[in-house]
Amino acid sequence: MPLEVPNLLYCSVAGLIGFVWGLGEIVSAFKNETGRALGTAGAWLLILLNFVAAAGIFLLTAAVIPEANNWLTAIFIGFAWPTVIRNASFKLAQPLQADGGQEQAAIRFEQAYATFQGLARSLINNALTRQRIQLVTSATNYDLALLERYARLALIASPLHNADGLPADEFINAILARPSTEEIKKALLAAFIMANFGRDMLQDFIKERNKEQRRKPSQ
Amino acid sequence: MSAKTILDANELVELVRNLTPLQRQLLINIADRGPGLILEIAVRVLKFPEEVSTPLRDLQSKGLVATDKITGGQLGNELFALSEQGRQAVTLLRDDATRKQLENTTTRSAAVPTSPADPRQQEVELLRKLGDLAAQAGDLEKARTWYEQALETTRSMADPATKPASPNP
Repeated sequence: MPLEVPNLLYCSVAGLIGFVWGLGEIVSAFKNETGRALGTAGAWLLILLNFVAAAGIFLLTAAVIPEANNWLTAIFIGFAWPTVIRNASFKLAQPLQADGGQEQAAIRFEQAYATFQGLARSLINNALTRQRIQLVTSATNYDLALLERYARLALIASPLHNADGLPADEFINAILARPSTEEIKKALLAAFIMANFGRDMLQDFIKERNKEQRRKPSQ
Repeated sequence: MSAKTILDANELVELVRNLTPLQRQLLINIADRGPGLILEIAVRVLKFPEEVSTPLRDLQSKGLVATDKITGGQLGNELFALSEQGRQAVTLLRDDATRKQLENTTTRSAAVPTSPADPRQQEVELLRKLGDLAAQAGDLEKARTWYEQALETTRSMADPATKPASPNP
């Protein structure tokens, strides 16, 4: 008797639920930079793994149990993937001795998924950090005085409260008074703006400076 | 498992108690703002990199913070993030009761010692907090285990026959 071909639509339903679950993990782990995190390869690796895993488990189930080839099973597997299936273990081989060696012969999906999750998180953090570094480095191409002015304006618009240590405006003074090169002072100011007022604030600074530079030759 | 985990919980509270205010601030900041390079973490707390480097390394040696190498970093190549233990430490730091306990312990350390309290009281509080953490993480089974242990300890405290002897002669 030929095997019934699993319905791809049902398979997509299971995969879509897994997809949403993976998306939820990214949103939860990167609350501050969700949008940017979703622009990285690591995030999509994790999301697609959840999609493929849920869809694949449905395909396997429907191929083995033809009666399971329906939308209810698809929904069940979609939700079961992160809550039940990932916590299961799969025996690789039957050990010769009935002792503790059994655990070594099993793959725990949870461990495997946790490893993959760690890899995805590492890739995402790497990508986001490189983006931030690039932004700070770009900001150091502009005058120190401009960066200082921008930082002080940002502070007026959005005062920072530091219970322990220097007040924010004195911290800017301390940066300027440091016996360091101008490049280091610029990097500190740029990092200060980005860390305390958001990445968009520093990006806006760079955009405004670029606009001014484009306007200058035409004047 | 329970004896080791109780010891771990006690160790964690002791660890948090011995952290400097800057280290506590760094842990909470990393929890709120996410992982960062030394430069980023420093300016978040309005300090310079050299001022936070040693406290961060100390947190790393205590297992509260973990590092990840990044490539192409002109401003540093180590990303500091909270470890699982670090996240638990932050939860303790944010708990009002724990914070007051830590503050009281700091002020009491210079005062004349009063009569010793039942050490099992601290154990009960820790077990309760572990139960809260597990429940927040969605592990209801583990949470139930912690709460049951807290209940057993509380019951043993109510029994005068099990009251610990005073260390004072």
